[in-house]
Amino acid sequence: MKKFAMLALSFAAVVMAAPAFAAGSGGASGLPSSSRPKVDPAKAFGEGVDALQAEDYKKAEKKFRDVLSVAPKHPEANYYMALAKIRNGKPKNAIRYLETAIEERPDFVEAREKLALVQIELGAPDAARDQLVAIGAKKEECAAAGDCDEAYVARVDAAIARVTAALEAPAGEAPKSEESDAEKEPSDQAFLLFAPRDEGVELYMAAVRLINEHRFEEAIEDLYKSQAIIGPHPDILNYLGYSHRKLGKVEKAQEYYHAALDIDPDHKGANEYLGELYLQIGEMEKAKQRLAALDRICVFGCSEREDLARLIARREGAVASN
Amino acid sequence: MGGQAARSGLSCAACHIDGRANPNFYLDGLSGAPGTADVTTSIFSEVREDKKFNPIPIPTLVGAGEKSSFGANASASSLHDFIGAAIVEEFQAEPPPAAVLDGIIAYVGALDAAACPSGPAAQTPRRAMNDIVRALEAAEAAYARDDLATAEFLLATSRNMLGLIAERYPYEKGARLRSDLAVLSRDISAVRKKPEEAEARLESVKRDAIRLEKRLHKARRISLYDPRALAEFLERRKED
Ligand code: HEC
Repeated sequence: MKKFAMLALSFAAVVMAAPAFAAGSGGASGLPSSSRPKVDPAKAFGEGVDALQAEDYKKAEKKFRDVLSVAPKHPEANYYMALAKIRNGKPKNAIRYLETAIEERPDFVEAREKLALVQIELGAPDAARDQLVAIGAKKEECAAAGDCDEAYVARVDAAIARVTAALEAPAGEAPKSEESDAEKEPSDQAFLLFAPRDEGVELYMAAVRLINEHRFEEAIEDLYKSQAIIGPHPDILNYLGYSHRKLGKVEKAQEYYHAALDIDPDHKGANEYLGELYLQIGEMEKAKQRLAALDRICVFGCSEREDLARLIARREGAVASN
Repeated sequence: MGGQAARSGLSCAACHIDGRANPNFYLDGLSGAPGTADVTTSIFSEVREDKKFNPIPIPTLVGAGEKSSFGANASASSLHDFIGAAIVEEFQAEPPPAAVLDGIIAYVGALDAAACPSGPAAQTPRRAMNDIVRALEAAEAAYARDDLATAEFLLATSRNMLGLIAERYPYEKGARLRSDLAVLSRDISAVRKKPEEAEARLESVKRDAIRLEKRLHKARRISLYDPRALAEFLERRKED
């Protein structure tokens, strides 16, 4: 039998085989690494989602706090943290999480809707109206670009209807942002809460194919959907970085690579690609630091190291011959 | 191999064990039934994607040397063309040094049904370390004729093979062996930095490798080379 059976090679196995999710990314050598943080954010994310579904909001809060301690900007983790806060009777504390989610993903309709409902509950209807305008603008944006996704439009319309209804409710009777008698999740949010994890893995695989076909925008869409289900995962973040870099969005790319390395400092792909990014923006010294990291990580050598070394040598050759 | 193929740890031998088929090969998104692979997928390559999920049985390469066309749709008329294209297009690798490509072709061409045993030989630490020592000898020869590209390729391959051995000693008891394999790997990597001393250094590395081989062999019962230990290991994996 060859190494296939040995390594948790498929992404599915890598994601599911807690706690060894780093098997495919960093620790394929089988040697323990000390630099990895204790929290496995994808695992905590899954447990948080389970806790939300089980209506154990205290546990959910704890799990998402763990997730956010290593992946502070993950949009869905912020959104779920806000849900947990709201259900724990702390709507005011939910605001900053919703704001982070929106900042990261301006088209995150559900986060905008929740924010508006919380603001209404806290007696700030004007702020809620701002969100309403922002939600409507998202729909106009995609209509203007001619690429409205039907499902997205339905989500937008539902959000607008609910926020409008809340705004129009007579004062004093304003519905709470979350009814205590276990108000059912609106169906358009079901996909966030109930998508089976396998679906996240499939979306990831689809994204890898799209990247190989240089269809980076579509790949990013799938990666976003994948990480909404799986939670923060260095493989996904690494490819988000790669896709953004290939689209020329260097700053965003850098953020994603760093996010991947915050979760797993020994992630080979993220070290390699961040090194490539440094080469692209002329930061040779920093590129060489990534190469040194790969030298340390890849005890038995690895193609990530070879590829980065080749690019660095090529660049230095080009500079030398100028 | 390069690109996603190398990153997922794929090698020729993963599909063609000892140059044969691999009835147990299975990779999510790539295989249909076990033993098949879709070799026209953008999971690995931007060039080969054909928009269809069409896994086909992995063929044995025994007897391939006598054929005059290769690939299911007879896409190539020589082993050289088929393998060269497979490496660069399908698996997205940098073209290998000429001597390496020639070596692979000579190997595949020599897989003769009459001369080869009927199935793949068992994997043992002895055999794995032997392969490494032979690769190091080939590297020495490449240095001697100033073929640095081939020499470095062989050094990288040796290190990779050491890593595969280390993976098979996953338990605490194997920690010393793993770290000694790592030291050997570092020593091999150091050879590359001083080509003028390659011969002396490779001789010393080979001696260390042979010593380590004896210890690996002694400890084989705690390793996944042992079929029972491997079965237990996989069982535990499944439960996790
Ligand atoms: C992912 C599994 C996989 C890997 C890895 C792989 N192969 Fe193959 N190989 C196949 C499949 C499937 C076929 C049949 C393809 C076809 O007929 O077009 C094949 C066909 C071949 C053939 C043609 C056989 C014939 O009789 O026509 C040769 C030669 C070959 N492979 C050599 C190699 C070499 C050398 C490597 C490493 C560089 C390699 N393969 C890596 C799966 C693989």
